[in-house]
This record gives sequence, C-alpha cells and structure tokens, in this order.
Amino acid sequence: MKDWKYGRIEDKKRVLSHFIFLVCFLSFSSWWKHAYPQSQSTLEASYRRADALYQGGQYQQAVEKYEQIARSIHNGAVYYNLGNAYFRLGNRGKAILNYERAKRLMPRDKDTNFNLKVAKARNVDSFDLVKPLSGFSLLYGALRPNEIVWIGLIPYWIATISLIVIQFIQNHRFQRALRYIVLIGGIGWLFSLLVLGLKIREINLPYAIVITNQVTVRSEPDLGSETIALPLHEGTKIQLQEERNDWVKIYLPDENSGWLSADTVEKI
Amino acid sequence: MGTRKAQDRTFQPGEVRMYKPYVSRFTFYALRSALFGLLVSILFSNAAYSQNITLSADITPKIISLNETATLRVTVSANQQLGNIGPPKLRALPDFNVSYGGASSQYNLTGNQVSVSVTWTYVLRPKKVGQFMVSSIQISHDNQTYTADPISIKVLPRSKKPSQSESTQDTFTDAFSGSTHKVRAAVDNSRPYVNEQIIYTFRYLYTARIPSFNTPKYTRPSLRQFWTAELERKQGRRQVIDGTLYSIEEIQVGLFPIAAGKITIEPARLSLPLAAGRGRLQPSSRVLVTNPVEVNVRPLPQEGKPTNFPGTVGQYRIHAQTDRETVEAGDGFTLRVRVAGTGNIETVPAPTVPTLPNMAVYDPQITDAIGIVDSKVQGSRTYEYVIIPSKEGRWTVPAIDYPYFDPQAENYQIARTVPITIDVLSNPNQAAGTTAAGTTQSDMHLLKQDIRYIKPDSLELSDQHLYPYKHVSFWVAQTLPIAVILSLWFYRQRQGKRDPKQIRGQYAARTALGIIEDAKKHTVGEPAAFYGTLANGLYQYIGDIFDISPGGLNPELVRQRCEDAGFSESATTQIVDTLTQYDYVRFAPVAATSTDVEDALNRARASIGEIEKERQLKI
Repeated sequence: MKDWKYGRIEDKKRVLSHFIFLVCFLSFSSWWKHAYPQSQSTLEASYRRADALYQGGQYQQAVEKYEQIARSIHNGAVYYNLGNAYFRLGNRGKAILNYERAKRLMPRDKDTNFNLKVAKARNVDSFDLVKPLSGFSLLYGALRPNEIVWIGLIPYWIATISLIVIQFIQNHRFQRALRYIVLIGGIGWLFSLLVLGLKIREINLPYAIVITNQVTVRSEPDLGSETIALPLHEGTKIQLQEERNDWVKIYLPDENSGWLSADTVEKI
Repeated sequence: MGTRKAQDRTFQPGEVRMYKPYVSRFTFYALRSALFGLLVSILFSNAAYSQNITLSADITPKIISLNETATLRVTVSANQQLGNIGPPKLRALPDFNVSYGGASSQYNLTGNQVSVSVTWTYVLRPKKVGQFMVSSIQISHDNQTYTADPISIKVLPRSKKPSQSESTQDTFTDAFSGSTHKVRAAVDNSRPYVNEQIIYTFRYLYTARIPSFNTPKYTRPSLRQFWTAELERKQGRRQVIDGTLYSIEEIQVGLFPIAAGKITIEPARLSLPLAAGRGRLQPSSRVLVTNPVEVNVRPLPQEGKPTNFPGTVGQYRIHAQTDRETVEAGDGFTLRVRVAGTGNIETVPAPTVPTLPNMAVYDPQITDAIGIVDSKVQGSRTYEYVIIPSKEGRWTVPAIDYPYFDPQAENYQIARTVPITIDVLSNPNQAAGTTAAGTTQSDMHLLKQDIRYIKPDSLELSDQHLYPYKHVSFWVAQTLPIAVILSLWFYRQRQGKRDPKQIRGQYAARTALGIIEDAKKHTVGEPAAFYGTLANGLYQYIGDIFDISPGGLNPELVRQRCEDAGFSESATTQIVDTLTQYDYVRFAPVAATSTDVEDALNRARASIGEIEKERQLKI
C-alpha cells in the first residue's frame, strides 16, 4: 500500500517535469520565432540590394525595398536609410517620419539625430505641435526600453544573489550588510520597472508627422467646418488625441484641438 | 661599292676622315639632282650668269668646354647652278673627333637671279683643351679651288657641372635642320604692388620647326608665391630679330603676388624632341632653359590706407539691389551686391554688409563671372544675401563701402552703393504664433548641410523590439530570481520538517511561551517557584534554538552563545539581564506584588520576542 502510494508520487513528479520541459520549449521557440521572423539571410540580401539601389541613385526603388524590409522587422538602420531615400526624393515628411522611427530604436545615434535636424530645418513650420514631456523624460529619453530593462536587471540580480548568500553564511554582520544590498537592489529594480512603464507610455503616445504639403486644421471632422488654425506643412510633428474614421483629432497649443484629414498624416 | 669609290676619291692621306652614311649621301645627291633639273628647265633661256662662288665656314659656339660639341658649317654660295659639287676637303683635325652632320641646300629666286647655297655640317667633339685653328677648308669646282677663311675655336677644361651647363642653355641649333631655337621669359612689370596683376610671358623663338612628330614640351616654373590665372597662348607670330626671321610662340600667365618682397621666378623649360636621323641613332630631346625673372613686389602704401582695409587691389565698382521693394515681416528678400572690375576677382573679400536692425542677414551665396580681356583678369562676383525682417516699418539698407587700392593711380579709392529703402509690412500669419522669421542662424546653417550617408549593409540586421514585455526572455529574466528564491525557501522548509534540530529551533518560542504561561499557576505566594519556572522557560528556549541541553545553562553561557550567533547587543543584554534577575529573586525570595508578576511575565515574553526578531532577520 505504502509502496503503491510512493509510486504514484514518482509518477506525478515525472508528469510535472515533462510539463515544465514542454512549457520551456514552447516559450523559447515562440521567442525565437519572434526574434527572427524571416530568414535572416533573405533580409540581409534585400538590405544590401536596397543599399545598392540607393548608392546608384535609384531612390524610388530603394524606398520600396526598404519599406518591404521594414514590414518584416523593426530596425533603426533600415528606417534611417529609408528616411535618407525619401529625403533624396524630396519627400521630407516621410523622411522625418522614418528618422523619428529610427530615433525610437536608436535614440543615441548621431547620424539619425543629425539628419532629423537637417530635414526639420527645411520645414516650413518651425515648431512641433506636441505636448511637452516632463523633465523626467530626460532620464529615459536616450535609452531604449530594452536598455532600461537591462539596467534594472543588474540591481535585481545582485539582490537575488545577496539573498541566496545570506542563507548560507553564519556571520551575522555580513548578513546585515547584504540585507541592505537586497533592499537597495530591490528598490532599484522597482524603479527601473517604473521608468520602463513611463518609457512605454511615451512610445505609445500617438505622435504623427504631416506628410502632405499643406493641411488645413478644422474645428470638426467635417470638410465644411471652420478652419481654426494656420495650415500645417509637411514634416511637422503632431500629437493625436483621437482617431475617427477618416479624421484625426490633434493637440493644438493652449489645450485646444483641431481635426485633420487622416490621410495627410502618418503615425510614427 | 659606290660608297667606297666615293670615299677613295674624296679622302686623301691626311684628310679628315668623314663618316658619310651611304643612304644620306644618296638622298642628298638624288634631291640635288632633281632640284637642279627643275632649275635648269626654269632657267634655260637665262644665259646671263657669271662665275661667283664663295666658300665660307663658321663654328658655333666658338668657345666650348671639353665635354661640349661645336658645329662647323661649311657653306658654298653661288649665283649659278653648281652642278656636281663634292663635299669640302678638310685638313686633318687631330684634336677633334669629327662627325658628319648632314648637308642642306637652298635655292633662292630673286627676279631672274638664282642663288644657290649648299651647307655641310660637321660636329666637332674636342679631344683636348686649347686654342685651335680650323683652316684650309677647300672645295673644288670646275677645276678651281676655293678656300675658306680659317676659324679659331677655344676649348676650355671640362665644366664642373656638365649636366647643368648643358641644361642652362637657352639657345639650341639643330645640326640636322640647321634651325635655331631660343627660349625667353619676361614679366610685363617687374615692380608690381602686392596682389596687382603682372603677366609672365614665356617665348619660344625658332627659325624652323624641328622635324619630329612630337611637339616641344613646356614646363612651367614654380609659381608658388603667386596666385595664378591662365591666359591665352599666342602662336604664329613672326618677327625679324638680328636679321633672322623667327616664328614666336608665347605662353602667358597672369600672376598676382601674394606677399611683398623680392621674388625670383625660376627658369621655365622647354624640351625639344629630336628625332633619330643623321648623326643620331636614337630619338632624343634637348632641354632649353630660360633666364630666371626677378620681380620686386612692393607693399601697399600706408598713406591714405582706409581703416579695416581688406587688401583689395585693382579697379572695382560695386552695385547693390534688392529683389523687391516691399516685403511682409517674416518673409525673406534678397539683397544682391555685385562687385565688378579688374583684379583678382576670385580672391576679393566680401563686402561688409552693415548690421540691419530687426533683420536677420544670412551668409551670402556667391556667383562669379570671370574672364580675361587684354591679358588682364576681370569680371564680377555677386553676393546674394537672404534677409528676413522681423518687424514692420520702413527700413534702409545703408550704403555699402568697398575700399580698394588702384595700382595704376597708386592710391586708395572707395566704391560705394546707393542706400536702398525697403517697406516691411505686417504679416497676418505672424500673429497666430508661427515664427517663420524665428528661423535661427543655426537652422540656417543646417539648411546648407546635406544629410549624412546611409548606414552600411555590413551591420547585423536584428529586430530591435520596442516592447520588451512582449518577449518571453523579459519574463524569464524578471521571474527567474523570484523562482530561485522561492524554491530555495521551500527546500529549506522541507529540510526543516525532517530535521529534529530544525524542528526544535522552529518551535522553541512556542514551547518557551507555554512554560511561561504555566508559571502563572504559581501564585503570589510562591515567588521562588514562579521565577524558577520563568527561568526554566527561558533556558529551555535558549537550549532549543542552539540545540543544546538547557540543564547546564547559566546567564554567562547564554551571553556567550548569543554573541557567537551574532545577535544584537540589546537583545543579548535583555535576556541575560532578565535571567540574572530571576536567579537573584529565585534564591532570595521576597514577596511579590501582582504588578511584579505581570512585569516579570512581560519581561520574559519581551526577551524571547527580541531574540526571535534576531533569528528571523538571520533567516
């Protein structure tokens, strides 16, 4: 009877271990699939082709190629090159749009920031219609979400290791010192999660770029409605409040808002 | 065979042995015969001729050094046809190596008169130093012998720099064609002011072209101390110099001296290609070198020099205009300033545009129109300034001064524009907060910049995700430490359940508190039993946590144990003090009040509580 019971327990353990293995395998393979969605070599070949087209001055074809790559993966360099190609075609709005996209993926890239500045200097509107971010955003402005995660993991893992060490040592004073490290590490980790949340919130802010030469800002989502502000021009960065059918509601200075035709802007 | 025969006839013992290639002689005779035949047919009826034959000889140069050569030319001139005339007889010249350089003949027809001349050329290469006479050059014709005047030639010792002595020649006489070639260099003004244009002229003079497929190659001297402008080449001019007709080719360069002082323009070179032919087995070349040219550049005079004079030299005019007369605030207009005149246009400094109130002036765009008239560099340079007024009103672009030094008048002069008035209207767009005129200087700077180049295709094309929480790795990294800690905790819990030592420690507080509760049974009347139970409870507790027997414990041992375990000073002191007090009361019992009992119970509980806290912290 006892032996039988014992056997049951062993069976349960085996089932559990198989289940854990299955979960791990599935999650890893799904992550792998996500990380490398298309055959890497195919993409790189496309990328080289697009670069060659750009170098040969065939910017329109280069744009098509880069756009195709950008549909498969999010990579800062691809958006940057796409922006360059659009710039060469004289399509400043699309160029700025793609530089902004590249900047989100490579916030500290000097070339991207420089080209964005160069492109923006040619804008008719010398302003952006976006709500200013808090001073806190300076903290994470130059960091990618991934980097924030990594920075947060360092104190977290240090705290974990300290906690494990505490279990195995007898010296009470050393244990107390490690306890402080656990505390600080834990706070650092939670802080990093907070910053990550803010960063994701900022990324999710619905910014957009005007991609047509000139846009009229109206009081209502209706072509017949009143024009309430100066027309906006290509390349201006705006912040959306609402999207409704063919219209977008944008933020205007002094808590005002206005409506634009949706096909005149593109979200970053 | 013919050659041998001719030589047998020409050379007598003691005569100069001459090297006459068969083909050359044949050509010569054939050519001469053909020309003679032609002349005879033309002059058939002309009976009036007289015997008038002269023989002359000449050596150039007359002074040579040992490693140089001289050319001996023997010319027979006659006003009649000469018929078959042999080469001249030369007395032996033992001090020279003589090589035959060829012959040429010339026929001139003046009215009905014909003059004929035949020239034989020999190249003399001296064997030793000294003064030599070349005499007894004779020629026989129609049984008459003509003798040329003797010529002297001086041979100097070998010059120390043989290569240079050869390359410093500015004149060359080609033995083959008999033509003379000269090079000369000059400037039109050897005392210019700084930045005043002078013309450097290289001249190549020649009597006849060198028979070669290659053209002479000109090497310009180094003109580093000048700003240069290429001028046109002049060809085909002819001029008689010292009775000889020369063709002249000129190459001119406009020079603007950069700094004051004495400048020596190094010699220019001309490499003459010499084809292989008579006396030359290989095609070679001969380099002619001009004279160096000295230029004494004068500094600009101090007298009358305007303040902040930028160093403009020449003759200039300045003109300014705007592309419109009225403009809206925030809108730009163009101010076009044109500087025109004679001088080094490409290096003229930009005119100083005065600061304009309420206007942003951006760096100008420059366009040049430069040409050369009469070998002088002249033209215009236009500066286009974009100006953006920020405020409405009537504004004036004041006169722009353009001072320059006129090297011809030798004084300073100032060209000046006419002031321009511009009306700036208020801009309705500006009221709404757009700041088109707010474009800053740095933005303007960016406008001129091009974007940077694309990223290389060598980089790894990875997916840079923006949302880390969408990935399993994020959750693994975040939860793995927690999982590790939890599993460790569970493991220790399970270990504890199996280990009696662990269990003893785990339940130590509970057991001790139970004993302490039991002490309540002993009332106020039995202080010794009451305190004894309390002390037993605490000793039991210490025994349990350290897994030792509580029997042999005393306060001192307890202190030692607690200190070894690293418990805090206060917790240790509290339990030790409590135990000491209980022992004291136990063995010297006094009547205890109910408050004392409560107090003692609380102290025991508090002592255990303190130690428990320490233990928790430890785990």
